[in-house]
Amino acid sequence: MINPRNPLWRFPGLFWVMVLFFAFLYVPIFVLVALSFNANQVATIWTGFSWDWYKGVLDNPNILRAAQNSLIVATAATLLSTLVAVAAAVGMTGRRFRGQNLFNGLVGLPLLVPEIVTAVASLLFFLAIGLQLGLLTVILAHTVFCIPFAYLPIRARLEGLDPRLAEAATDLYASPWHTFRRVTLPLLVPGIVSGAMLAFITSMDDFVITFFVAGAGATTLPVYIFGMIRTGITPEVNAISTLLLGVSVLLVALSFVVGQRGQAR
Amino acid sequence: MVYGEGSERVRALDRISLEIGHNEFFTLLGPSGCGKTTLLRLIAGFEQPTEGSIRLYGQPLEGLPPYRRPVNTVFQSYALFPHLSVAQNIAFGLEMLGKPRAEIAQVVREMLGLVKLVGYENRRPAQLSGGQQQRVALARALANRPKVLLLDESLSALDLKLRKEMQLELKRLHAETGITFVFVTHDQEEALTMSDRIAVMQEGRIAQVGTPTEIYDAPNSRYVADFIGETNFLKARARGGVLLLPDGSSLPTPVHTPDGEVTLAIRPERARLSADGSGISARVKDVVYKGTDTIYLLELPGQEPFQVRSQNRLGALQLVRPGDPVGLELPPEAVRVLKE
Ligand SMILES: Nc1ncnc2c1ncn2[C@@H]1O[C@H](COP(=O)(O)OP(=O)(O)OP(=O)(O)O)[C@@H](O)[C@H]1O
Ligand SMILES: [Mg+2]
Repeated sequence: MINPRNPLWRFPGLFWVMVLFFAFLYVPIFVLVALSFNANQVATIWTGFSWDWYKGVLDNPNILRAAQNSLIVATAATLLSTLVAVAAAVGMTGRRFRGQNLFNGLVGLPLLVPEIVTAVASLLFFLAIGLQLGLLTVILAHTVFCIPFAYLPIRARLEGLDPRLAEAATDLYASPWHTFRRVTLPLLVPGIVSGAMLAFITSMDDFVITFFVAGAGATTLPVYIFGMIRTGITPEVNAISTLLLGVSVLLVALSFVVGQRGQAR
Repeated sequence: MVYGEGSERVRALDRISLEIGHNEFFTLLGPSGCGKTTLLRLIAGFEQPTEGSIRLYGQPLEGLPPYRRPVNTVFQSYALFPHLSVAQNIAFGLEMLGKPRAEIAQVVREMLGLVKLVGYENRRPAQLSGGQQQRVALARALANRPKVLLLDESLSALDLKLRKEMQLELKRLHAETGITFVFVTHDQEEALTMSDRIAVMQEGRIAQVGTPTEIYDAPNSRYVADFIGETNFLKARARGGVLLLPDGSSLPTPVHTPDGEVTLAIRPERARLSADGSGISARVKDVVYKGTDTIYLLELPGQEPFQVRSQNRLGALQLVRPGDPVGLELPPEAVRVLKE
């Protein structure tokens, strides 16, 4: 990866800039993970190893409820957004229509819109149509912002598919529905899996939008953690954060593996 | 057939009129971009003709989507389903037709035998060689017993040896199945050896249709003569039943030819060097020994370079060297008069 002949390497100090960059990126995370195993009450002073904070997390009904909410929201939003993304991607490929580029841009736009804007807009929208804030509104809002995350890998996979395959299926007496069901969809699976996992992770760790549109009783983990931090950083926060990080890393790794397998075929 | 709209319009096919017989091995032959694939795609139903119509055993195909046409295609790129096994690939069409399981299993077994892939049924396409994939593509299309099988340059990706094998295999399958084959190639030798009839295409039109012998022996234009095999062209003038060459020599016309400027097409193997220097006077430019044949490159005054190919029979070796003056003999049956 590092080519010593790259002329940039002749700049003195470049190596240390790089070290600093990675330190800046990862040291806080390492510290957080390490401190979650800290025996000391004061979260920032290391005394010894212990599982206490994890036990505390698992014994805390509020945290468990928040985790449960997070899972419900992420699962529902993932299913819905992936469904929409598959439909949109299939509809967009292999066909040309007026305004196609505009549509493509619109699908990806939520990635660029400041989250706070989406959050406020969603809140105003739900209030305007008189929807009671709660799990449902969180699911709806999450579905919307998860769509582009699910859409991009699916679209990429679909564009990489040989259009002759669908033609071959049609040639072999498969109706459009059967062509989709028996050929396009199975070949799309790696894209769908990575899309769904991205959507899931995005939903799991969303804070801003959830904070605005979640009513009482619909608190998710990130919102709950934020609430805990306001009363001081406890080792419990470190423990939950580490758990959340673990889930994220696991999912990303899984999606990567599935993606690679799809490439190999 | 026109692709695209407005300024992007491409007329890919123009005034095509063809009739292909039952169980015929019909070949579309032409250079790249002449519209061969387009014609197949029209028959398969992937494209709709902008004008005109296509009929299959009397039944008009207009408006019939590809999945309702009793026609199957062997794609140039094979287009095997990568997520299905060999057996599942072959069974695909029959499953879509709703055939009973037992029958499908039976046909798949038959097809595997036909294309000599028994024992490979559970492999994925990615685990097969190019030639094996090709045969799976063939089996997948043939399994449905289509009325017409379309093959788009199906052999062009194979190396020479495999290609010769597959050519024989295709001929055998054609004879055994009784299915009509429409075969696309840009290889003239392949077309000549495989086909019952050939249509030579030129820029979206059909230049000539005929049996391999007709196309080879009686090309109707310089284009066809040039595309199929090697041909010498001579400028001449027809007058009163004789062909006058610019150097003053003359030949009898093989068929009645109206007076005027004509082009003569002569195959290299049908011309001869005369033993005694009679005939059209020429000068040897080069002699190329090719094992079974020797090729003499001649210069004729006021003409394009001329080739004579003569078989190296025992004792037939002619001692001719570059620079020697020779006589060129053109038997009347060897001369084809072209209008252009
Ligand atoms: N989808 C398309 N849109 C516009 N033009 C096309 C399209 N497909 C083919 N053409 C044009 O139509 C003409 C005929 O193409 P076609 O693919 O039928 O040629 P071909 O004889 O099969 O050539 P090859 O031997 O290279 O496969 C070409 O000029 C090509 O550029
Ligand atoms: Mg082609």
